Amino acid sequence: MKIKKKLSTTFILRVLVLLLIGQSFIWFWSFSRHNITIEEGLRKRIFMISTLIEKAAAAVNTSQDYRYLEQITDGAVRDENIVSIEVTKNSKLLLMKSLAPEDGVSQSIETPIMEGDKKIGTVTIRYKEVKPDTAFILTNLILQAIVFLVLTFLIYIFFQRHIGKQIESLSANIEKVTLGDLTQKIEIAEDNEIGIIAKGLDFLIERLLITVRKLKSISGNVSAAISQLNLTFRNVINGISNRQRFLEEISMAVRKASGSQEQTIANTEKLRSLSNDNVSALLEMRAASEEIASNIGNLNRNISNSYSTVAGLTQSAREVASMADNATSAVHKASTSIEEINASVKEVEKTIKESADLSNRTTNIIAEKGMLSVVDAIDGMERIENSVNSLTESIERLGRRSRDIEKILSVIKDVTEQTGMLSLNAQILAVQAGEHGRSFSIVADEMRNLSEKTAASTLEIATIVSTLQKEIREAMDSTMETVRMVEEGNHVVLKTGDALREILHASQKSTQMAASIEHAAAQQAKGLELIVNAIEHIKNMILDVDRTTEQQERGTSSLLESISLIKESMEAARNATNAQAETTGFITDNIELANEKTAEIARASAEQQKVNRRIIEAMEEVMVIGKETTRNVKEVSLFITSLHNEVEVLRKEVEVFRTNTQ
Amino acid sequence: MRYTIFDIADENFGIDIQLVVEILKSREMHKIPDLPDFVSGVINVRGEIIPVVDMRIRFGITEKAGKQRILLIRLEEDKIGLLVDNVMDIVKISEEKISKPPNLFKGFRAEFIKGLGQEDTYVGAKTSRSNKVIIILDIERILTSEEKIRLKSSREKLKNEEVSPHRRESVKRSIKTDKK
Repeated sequence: MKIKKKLSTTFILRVLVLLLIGQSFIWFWSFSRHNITIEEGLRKRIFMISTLIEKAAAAVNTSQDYRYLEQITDGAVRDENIVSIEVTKNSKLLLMKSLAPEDGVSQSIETPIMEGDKKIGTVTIRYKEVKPDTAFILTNLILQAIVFLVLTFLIYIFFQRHIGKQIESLSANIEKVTLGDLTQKIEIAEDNEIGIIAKGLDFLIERLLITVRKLKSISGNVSAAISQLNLTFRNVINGISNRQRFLEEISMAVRKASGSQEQTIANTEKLRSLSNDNVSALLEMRAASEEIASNIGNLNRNISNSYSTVAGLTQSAREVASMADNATSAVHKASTSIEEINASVKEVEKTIKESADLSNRTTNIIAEKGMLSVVDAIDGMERIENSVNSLTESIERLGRRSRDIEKILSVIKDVTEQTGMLSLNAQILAVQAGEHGRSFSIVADEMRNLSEKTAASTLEIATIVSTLQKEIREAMDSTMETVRMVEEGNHVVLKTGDALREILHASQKSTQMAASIEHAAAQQAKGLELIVNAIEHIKNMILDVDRTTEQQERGTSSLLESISLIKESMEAARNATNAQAETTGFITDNIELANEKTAEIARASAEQQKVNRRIIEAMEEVMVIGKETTRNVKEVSLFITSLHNEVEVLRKEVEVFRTNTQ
Repeated sequence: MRYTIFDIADENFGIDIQLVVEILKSREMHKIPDLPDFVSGVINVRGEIIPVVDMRIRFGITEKAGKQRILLIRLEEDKIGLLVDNVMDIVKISEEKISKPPNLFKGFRAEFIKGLGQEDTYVGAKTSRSNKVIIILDIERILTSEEKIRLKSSREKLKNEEVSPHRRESVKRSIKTDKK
């Protein structure tokens, strides 16, 4: 236990602190008081001395006797506090006494020396301030400290002896109880407050001990019970989950069974449909055989009838004849309609033929006229080309000629120039010859004129020739253009020829196609004719039948004998047929029975299926419920587990307390 | 006075008719070694070898003319050919119509020019030239005296060569090679 935490210690410490504060306050107060008293005493004394000296000084002024003043000042200056005394009169120093050196802080008192109302001088006393009495202060302090210490010691002793011990033992016991030991007993027999507290505590501890003991036993029981419960619940959960699993398995099995049942139902259905087919086929067979039987019966009866009465037979033969007549008329009708068809087919054929002719003609036109005109065009183009070519040639020749003319012209020009030059020379010579050359000069002049004229006409010719050449060139150019155009035309014509050829090809093809259509139509017509023929044939045959029926009618009597024979064999046949019909009926009946059985099976299967479905549904419901139960159980289990845990915790907590004295 | 008019580069020039010997068509010109550089070549006029001076070169015109004539003139005792563009006409120009030329006329040096004249009356057929200025050439000054001397000496040489048949042959050969 630390000292700080001890209640007694803190209490004592606080008391001590309060004591200390009080003491120091008292000390400070007494000290300041003491100081003030000393200072005031000093000032009063000094003031008294100064008044005394002033009186003496004033007396000196009147009596001129300095001795008294001297004595007083000598006595005054011996005071340990006075530093110096100065007496001035009319601003002149009259007397000055000092013993102690003037050092440290000093104060002074000035008193005026009065004579009547006039101030004749001053008395100045300088004095030291009283120093604080250090010894006194120190002794005071030491005394105070001693008092404080003694008080402290005393308080501590008293406290410790009376309260401290008891509180300590009490707190020690409480601490033990806190740690869980409830077996402690506080032994304080004193009859004060602490004793009462100890008794109360004892009582509480005892009560607690009883309660904890009870709790301990209860919690142990509860824990055991709960753990048992937990175990049981775990078992329950296991059981439930097992049941769930089983249920699931069962459900799966049922489902599987249901699936296979469905398969069975489908198979049965198939079987039923098959057997239905069988039945229908058999029924058909049976109907046929029955019909045969009935027919045979009829025939038989007829035969019997004919056997008994020829008239009846005749009548029936007549009936037959009338029926044949009907047939004939029907055939007739058919024949006419077919003939109509035939006619229309023929018309079609005709149209096809016409179209074929048309396309043929077109082909011919294209082939003959078109191609011929193209060939003509080509010929014409060639002719044009030839003539243009010859034109070009002649123009070229013309150009050559004009160039020849040019050559000739250049020769003429040369000659002209020569002549001109010659004339110039002649003139020169004539001039140089002077008078003699005058006549010659005239000739020369003429010559020159001639040459100039020639030159001019040559120039003219040259210009004409050049224009001519230009024109020839132009003509040449236009001819060339013509040639080009002719070539273009040629090209176009050739193209046209090509196109025509293509058209021809196409039209030939169409002709061919028309021909084939025609062929097909003809074949159709032929087929129809065949049909018509066949119908005709049928007609004829029916007529024949008619005729023979009539003949038969006539020769019925001859039939009688043979009929009897037929009758016999018919009987046999009838019997056999009947027997067959019967057996067929049997089989059919059996199959029908089987069929019914199958249907029943199917129905039963369907029913079972339904039941299965219901079982599955129930199972599923059960499973859902089981799941819910499981969940609930699990929840409860969780609950219990948590409870168990809590009880465990409680138990542990209770366990902390020691209840047995060992 | 009568003048023979010829033109070089569209400019009309006149020369005293008395000096003119003959007008010739331009013909083959032979280049002979040892000829002075101002002589373009020699021509053969009826057996006479005559040096030819190209007037265009003489006047400092570099381009060639389209048409060419040779004006054969008498220079002192000898004949010389002037290669001109064309010989146009023979005109009469009176003395008072000839004026002194300025120092430099149309780029021709004054030393060649005797004067500037205008045609008096028309002699020939052409009238278009009547107002045109004719530059009358002082043909004596066409060649400097030094040139004249050089020409003379070369002519002497040629004459000597003419005397020796061997030399003459060589000259002929050189002409032939030139032709090629």
